[in-house]
Amino acid sequence: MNHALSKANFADADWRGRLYRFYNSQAFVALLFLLVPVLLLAALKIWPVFYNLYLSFTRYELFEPPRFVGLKNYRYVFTNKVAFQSIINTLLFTIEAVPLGTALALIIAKLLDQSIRGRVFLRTLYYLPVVSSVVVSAMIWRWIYSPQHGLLNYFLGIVGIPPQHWLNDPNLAMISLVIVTIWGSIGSNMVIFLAGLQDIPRDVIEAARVDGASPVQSFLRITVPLMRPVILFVVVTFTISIFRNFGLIFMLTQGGPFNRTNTMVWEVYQNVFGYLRLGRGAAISVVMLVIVLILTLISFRVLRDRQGA
Amino acid sequence: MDRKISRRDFLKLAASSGAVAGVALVGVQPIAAQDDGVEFSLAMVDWSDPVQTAFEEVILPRFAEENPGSSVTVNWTNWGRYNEEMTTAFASGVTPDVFQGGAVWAPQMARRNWAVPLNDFINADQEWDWADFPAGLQADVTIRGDIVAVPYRQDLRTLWYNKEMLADAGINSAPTTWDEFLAAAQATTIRADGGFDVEGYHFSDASGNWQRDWQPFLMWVHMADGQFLSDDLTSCALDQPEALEALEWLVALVHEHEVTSYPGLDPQGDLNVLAGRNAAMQLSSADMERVINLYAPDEQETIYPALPLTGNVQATHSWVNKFFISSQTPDASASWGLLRFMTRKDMLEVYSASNNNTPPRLSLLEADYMSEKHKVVLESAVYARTFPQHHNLIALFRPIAAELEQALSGNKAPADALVDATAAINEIMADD
Repeated sequence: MNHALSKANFADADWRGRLYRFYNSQAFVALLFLLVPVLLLAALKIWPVFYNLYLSFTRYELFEPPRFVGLKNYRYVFTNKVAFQSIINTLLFTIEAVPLGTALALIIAKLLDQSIRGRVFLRTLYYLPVVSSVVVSAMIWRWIYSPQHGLLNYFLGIVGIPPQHWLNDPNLAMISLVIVTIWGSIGSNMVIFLAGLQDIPRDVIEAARVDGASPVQSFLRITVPLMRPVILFVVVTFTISIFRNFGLIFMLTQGGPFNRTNTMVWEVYQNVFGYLRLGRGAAISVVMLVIVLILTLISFRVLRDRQGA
Repeated sequence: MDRKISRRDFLKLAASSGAVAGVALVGVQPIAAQDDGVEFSLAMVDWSDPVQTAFEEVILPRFAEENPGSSVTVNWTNWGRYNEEMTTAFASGVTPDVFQGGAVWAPQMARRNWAVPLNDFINADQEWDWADFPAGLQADVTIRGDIVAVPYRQDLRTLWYNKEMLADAGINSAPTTWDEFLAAAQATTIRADGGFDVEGYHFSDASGNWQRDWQPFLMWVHMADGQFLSDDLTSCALDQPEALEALEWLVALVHEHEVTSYPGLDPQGDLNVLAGRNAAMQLSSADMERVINLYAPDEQETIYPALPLTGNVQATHSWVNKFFISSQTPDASASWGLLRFMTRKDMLEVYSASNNNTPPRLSLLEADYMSEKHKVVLESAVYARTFPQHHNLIALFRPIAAELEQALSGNKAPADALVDATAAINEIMADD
């Protein structure tokens, strides 16, 4: 018994010794410091996500406690004509903007990676929309798109094309938004591509040139394959930014005409702030999250697998 | 030399951060009782530069003078962000004590219990004189017996027209009926290059605002003697013949008579389409006079209001804007003091004059600032209908906005559009 006790005391002393050493170590201080961002992350990012998930199963209008309604909000998302159209619109927006915007940014980055006169000025010029406020950009584009007083219709008029209702024609509204979105994002995507282009070994390009590859062949066969990880990054972040694109919709079309630009994020806004249906807004957000995850996985699959091939 | 951070350092840092955060939190408390007065917060959304000047130079100094030690912090905001601003304010418990609200706000504020009922304050305050507000306006802010707000403006919509343009077309008086209106619109419309130089009638502009169409549409529905919701507020009434008559009339104005374009012409900055001489007639509020005075003074002698048109009945629409006291105010009685002050006759006159508002007090009808044009607008009050007292009107307006786009663009027959809108609205109401 005495023997057993002394063993226990020894183990206890050992445990306390370890604790004491940890308590006095830099690792403990580091953990304390880490605790702050972790708690902030949990409070401001992780908890809202789970609370949003919880709300998506409730009817909640702020002035009375949330009431559990099961899958009713999700049924609404997929059966209500306007809500479902917002999913289709968002996907269309993504399909139209991401490939075109990414390709344009890559081409411009490649062109501005050459030793050309005014390169710095041009890079700055392309980056300017990124530092402009969405509201300011939207005001400028509202003027450009104005049917009667707009710049675009003025130039079209010079070549004999009748004025268009860019933001009010159901066939043109979405593409008009896509143009503004690409214009606004090309600078940031271009900078990422420019950084990626620095990592491509020059000797590979040189070797291809010596072997008779044209600049286009060199771009398509060497630059693009080597840039796949960067392209993947741009595609994923650009897709996410399009799903979150609220400012332009709010400023330019408010979901119209005919709900053609009614995207998921606008539908969330309408449900939450317009109608105080927080549960429905939460359900649309969850569906949006799932779609973004699926699109991200597809992007990884398509772009990463080929890189490995 | 590397300096290691000890637990003591960390705790010091944490304590300092906590103290700073605490001070910051205390600093943003919305209302603070002072030793000899109260600090109020006020949200103003219905304002222009002259209103801000009037508040800062007359109304608030007078309030401080009459209530020593009290002060008012004003949040000057705008309609575009106001709804979410107030929603998040209520959700987070930091609302202003007194705030302005739009024409459809009273029922929703009452439903959410976000506004303090004012009956006791009003009944106990004979001097302030609730009877000075017209019965229609009193009814608009009274929800199930509770007075939840006090009107500060009645935004009466009526026909505004360019006298010179009509005279040039051989028409020497404002139209009074739909037929006369159509004749005037046809006579003044100028078409060019497949579009319009001048719309005889400007229905709505080409802005992205989803509310641009249903607002004027409701006026035509009223003139046809129709209504948006049934009297008991349980169903949509847009599938009734009167509403259909109004929509068919509008569709005919666009596609058959071609006196207005859809989407309509764009305003030129602050200059609306009528003031910019791109239209001869428009249904608008007294705000038109303010716009003309500010941005198109040359048109002061050409653009005039007329009494509402007569369709099946002579009717128009009135938007009643009002002040609320937040249910989260720590001292409703003190907040009533501020609301009472801002809506008493002399202060309301200062506010109304600065914004060219049509005043909600009968005793202000002969106020000095009431121009002849303004008095014509005011005459429209007897023909005006207000919004139905449903708590979810914004959600209910959405389907009609979408269906109006379809019908006015010629993509859907008016009858189908209204049937679909009615079904969608009834579905929302059933789910409510």
